[in-house]
Amino acid sequence: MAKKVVGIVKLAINAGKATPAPPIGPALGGYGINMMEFIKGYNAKTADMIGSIVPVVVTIYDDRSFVFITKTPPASDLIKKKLGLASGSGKPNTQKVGALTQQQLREIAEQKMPDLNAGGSIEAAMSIIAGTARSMGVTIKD
Amino acid sequence: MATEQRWAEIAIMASGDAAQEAIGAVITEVVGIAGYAATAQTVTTYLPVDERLENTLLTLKAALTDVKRVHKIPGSSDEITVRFVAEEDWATAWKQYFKPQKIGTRIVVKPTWEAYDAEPDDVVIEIDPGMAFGTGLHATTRLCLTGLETHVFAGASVADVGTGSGILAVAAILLGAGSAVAVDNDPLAVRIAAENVSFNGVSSQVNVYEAAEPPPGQFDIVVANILAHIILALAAPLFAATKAGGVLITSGILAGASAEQVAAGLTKAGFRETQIVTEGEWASVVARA
Repeated sequence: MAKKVVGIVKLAINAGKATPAPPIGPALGGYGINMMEFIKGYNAKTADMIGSIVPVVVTIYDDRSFVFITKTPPASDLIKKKLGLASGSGKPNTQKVGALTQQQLREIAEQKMPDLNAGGSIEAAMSIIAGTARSMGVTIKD
Repeated sequence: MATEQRWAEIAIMASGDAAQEAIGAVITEVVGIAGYAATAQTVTTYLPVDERLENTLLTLKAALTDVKRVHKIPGSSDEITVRFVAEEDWATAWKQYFKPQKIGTRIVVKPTWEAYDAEPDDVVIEIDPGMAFGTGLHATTRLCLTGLETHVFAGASVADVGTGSGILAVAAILLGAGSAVAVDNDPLAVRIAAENVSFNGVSSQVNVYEAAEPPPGQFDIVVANILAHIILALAAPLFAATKAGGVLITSGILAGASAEQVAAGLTKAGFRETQIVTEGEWASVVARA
């Protein structure tokens, strides 16, 4: 059947704990898709990753059917896990909460590589991760 | 009754992975919101409207300015748009789109939870969109259903190539066809078609399986709601599957040049006459073998 894509929505949400509350409800509600079916599917697929934020890309077609693909956890989540942090800094510019070594930065970049537009370059991926780290108050050691 | 919950919808311009990851980190780590949505240009998140909102927005704004000005992440922005939205029943809002719909003169496509007073002549197809797989209300499906209504006769044999939800095979049987073979190259579609077939109580007459080609044998009616270029590529096997004097109903074709091409391709494959029926921007090409 000919299906036109009417929307692509990327959500970063808690694994295994999706509900129709924001951001999921309003983000998907406008497309008229069966939201409980998405929520059920997402929670089932991410049940073993509870505690992480697992992004998901939902593609919606003009007949209100949809498909979704789960992605690697966001860089911020991987950085926290790597450093054993409970959360990032509320004042990322002045209050630092940790520091990543080049090696740790590389490991996270490798893990995120499949989902980043880094053109296959590990350096480009590392620079994206470093940017995320800085925005949450984590510095990079030389 | 509790006051209606309101939400602040916070949209931040951000394009590219680097900016969206960084802004996502600000939202989840700095501001502590549990999640966000992203489209190509924008990251959107939601906060309940309460006495903490103003303070949280200030924190967010400050952190975004850091990302943009201090960290210079390309594509990042500190411009935020706030819009207030009322809490809705998002979980079931989609159901408003699925209502029983009469197609042609007799066919009614009915969501399983909706009540419908069938008239004696009505052919009611029950579809559960809880299976998240189309509803049969797309123009191309309507065109094929109308085509089936016109051409199916009692006891006819039917092949449904690219069955999807199985709605066309189910409709053919409910309209009086004797048997139907439904194929799809997508295993998920095959499973869902089988469920819908079973739900409508026509399992004994419909055989569903995975295949990318028309089923072997010849049929009185062949229906293919796929895409123009696939129909063209399958023109010869579709002709081979249609009995002499039988009818091929195709759709998934855009009206205009594309429909003309399909009609020409089907004629070349051996079909004697073709007819183009359109609804909006979509077309169905009906060909007689």
